[in-house]
Amino acid sequence: MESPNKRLKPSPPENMAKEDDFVPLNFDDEDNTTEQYGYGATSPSPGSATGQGMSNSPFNAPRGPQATQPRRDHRNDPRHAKDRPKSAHPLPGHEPWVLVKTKYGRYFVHNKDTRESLWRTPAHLKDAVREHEQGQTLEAEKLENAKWAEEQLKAMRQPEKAVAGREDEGRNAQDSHNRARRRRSESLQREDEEALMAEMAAEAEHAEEKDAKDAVKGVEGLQPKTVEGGAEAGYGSDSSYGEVEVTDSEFEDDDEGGKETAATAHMDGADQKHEGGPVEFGEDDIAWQLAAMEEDQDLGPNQDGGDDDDAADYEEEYDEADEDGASDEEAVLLFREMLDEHKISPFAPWDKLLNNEDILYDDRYTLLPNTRTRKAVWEEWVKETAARLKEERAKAEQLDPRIPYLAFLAEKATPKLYWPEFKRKYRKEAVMNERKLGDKEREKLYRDHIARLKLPESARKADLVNLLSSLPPRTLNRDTGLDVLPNQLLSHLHFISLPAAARVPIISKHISSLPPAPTNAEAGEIDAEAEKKRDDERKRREKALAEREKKVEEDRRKAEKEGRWAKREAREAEREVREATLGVGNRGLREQLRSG
Amino acid sequence: MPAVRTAKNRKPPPDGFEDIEDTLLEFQNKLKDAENASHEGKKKHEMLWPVFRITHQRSRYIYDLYYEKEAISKQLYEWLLKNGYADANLIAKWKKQGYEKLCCLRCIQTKETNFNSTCICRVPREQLKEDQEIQCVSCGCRGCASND
Repeated sequence: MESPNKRLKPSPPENMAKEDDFVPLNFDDEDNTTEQYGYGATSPSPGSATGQGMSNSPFNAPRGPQATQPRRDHRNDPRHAKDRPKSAHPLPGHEPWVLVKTKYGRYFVHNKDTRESLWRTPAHLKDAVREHEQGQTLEAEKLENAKWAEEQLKAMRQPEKAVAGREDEGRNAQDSHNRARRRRSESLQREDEEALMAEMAAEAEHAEEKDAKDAVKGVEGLQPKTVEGGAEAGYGSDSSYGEVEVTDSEFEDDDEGGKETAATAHMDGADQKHEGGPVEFGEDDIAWQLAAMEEDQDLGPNQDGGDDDDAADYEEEYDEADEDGASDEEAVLLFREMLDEHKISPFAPWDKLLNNEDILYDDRYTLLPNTRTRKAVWEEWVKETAARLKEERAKAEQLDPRIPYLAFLAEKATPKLYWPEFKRKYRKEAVMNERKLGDKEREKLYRDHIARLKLPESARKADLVNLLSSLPPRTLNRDTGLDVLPNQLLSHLHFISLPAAARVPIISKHISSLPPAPTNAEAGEIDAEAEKKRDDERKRREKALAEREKKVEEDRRKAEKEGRWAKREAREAEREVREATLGVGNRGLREQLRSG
Repeated sequence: MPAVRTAKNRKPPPDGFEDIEDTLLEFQNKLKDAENASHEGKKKHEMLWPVFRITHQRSRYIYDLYYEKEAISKQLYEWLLKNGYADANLIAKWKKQGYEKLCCLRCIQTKETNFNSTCICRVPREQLKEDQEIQCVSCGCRGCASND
């Protein structure tokens, strides 16, 4: 056995300073522009001047104290690239927390509500986790027993000869198996001790660090378990891990110089779980997770740029696992619903959406597997929403921009102010900057209005009555309310020439003197007239069409006839030629001359 | 003397401008910030990179709205181009195969380079060396080949 001091430390001492290792995977990376093709995700925020050449990594790993340390290249490890959350087990009694097992048998706890994930199990969860794991162990043992019984049965059924032949083999295998197991248990034990020593050393070195106490506690809590774990490892049970804290044991083994045989090295990940002390996962691990995630998305950072929702992606992977629920279509529908509910403008760019925290923390956001699908759904949604908006606007009645301006004038305009003064005074008002109206028109209306204000009131009253009586009974009638006056009235200068106090009685008097709204019969009459007109029009068109068709048909027939004539003539001409040639015969010129 | 055109007496922009006005304003502000940013500790060309980046983003935004999402009208799109909100020449390149992600026009201007070649950012990533990080001088692009 070599000295434990030779062994690499299970975790860099700096890492100990971080109480809870990487917790949420969402980084506040601000400059997540989507389509900045040339300017990938690595480009810094617009404000930060120094960031330009800083980080070249395709993802923004959290910058821990470890960042400067030389690292082992974990990212290239195929195991890491493939590791994924596999199953989630609810922890009874600690409701939002679930224990998540990864594909390679590593464990971490995850809070469904706050969406934080911890490799290191918090103290208050340890009991629940242990309970769960004991249950697992029992189950595994049962399975093992059943398997063993089955094997025994099979062996007994084999013919004797085969058994005899195989026995040696089996014994050999058994032996090697036992040996491997023993070796493994030894190595595990050794490692445990080493890990402990390393922890102690680290702790001594960094006693002044703020959570040295925690480390001590962790080591102390571990001590009895170490023994238990070592003993259990001897049984070679598949789930012989004492604590659910993840230890990156495989790499430590490698670092030890490949002492472990290939047989053990290729054992299942869970088999190798043993106490390595509360080894924390550093930046490397986060980095490979992110890398894996990005591979998952199958996107370069340049194309996507949505790195900050990697966290969400990550959460999602097991969210889906324990929901088992919403199918793709439903997920898409829910996502769209979410977009609708959050009143997302279809004209806003994609990165605006990604900066919207409400959306990122919405559960429906995580229903879709990755950012690429999300973006696709979003694009589809944008297309449809924009089209719908366009249609709605086309249908909606256009508000005359003069109406609010005239209302404003009625309130503010006085003959004491010239137009430039008035304009200067109210230049901040929205109505004065309305683009649709134009400054010239505004000026004209103002001047006219001021000029009219100087007229005697009787003249203005007469004008208003004239205006009222000029409106057709359909728009203005006895049923018209004072607050739903027709636009023709509201947008007329004569309407605001009188102050509201004088205007309202005149209008109400006029309205009460009007006949009721044209009844349906009258309206129907008008409709019928219009209908008739349309009908005539249609008939006329149809007639024109028929005539045209007739003409075309005639032309066609004529052309056909001419074609036939031409053919006939051609045939006749041919016949003549044939007759002429037949008549000549081959009797020679002399004969012909004689006959001729 | 020609008439003085101010914001007030200009023709109003086509319908639908109100929808994208806020986003465009944001871009404008960003651009202004980039223009006023300090040059300290930066390389000679580096000052211009954010400007290129923001104009690229803005052009892409308008391009997407018109061609991909069909959310704005042709009149508005043309008005935007005419008023310099998007770079029409750059968009013209984006429509061509192989130039879908082009970062800026300078990067494909072969006559301006020593070896009559395009910028390094036009080189597909797989043709570069492993882990080779590039950032082009003209606009700070980190790679804009279509298959990246």
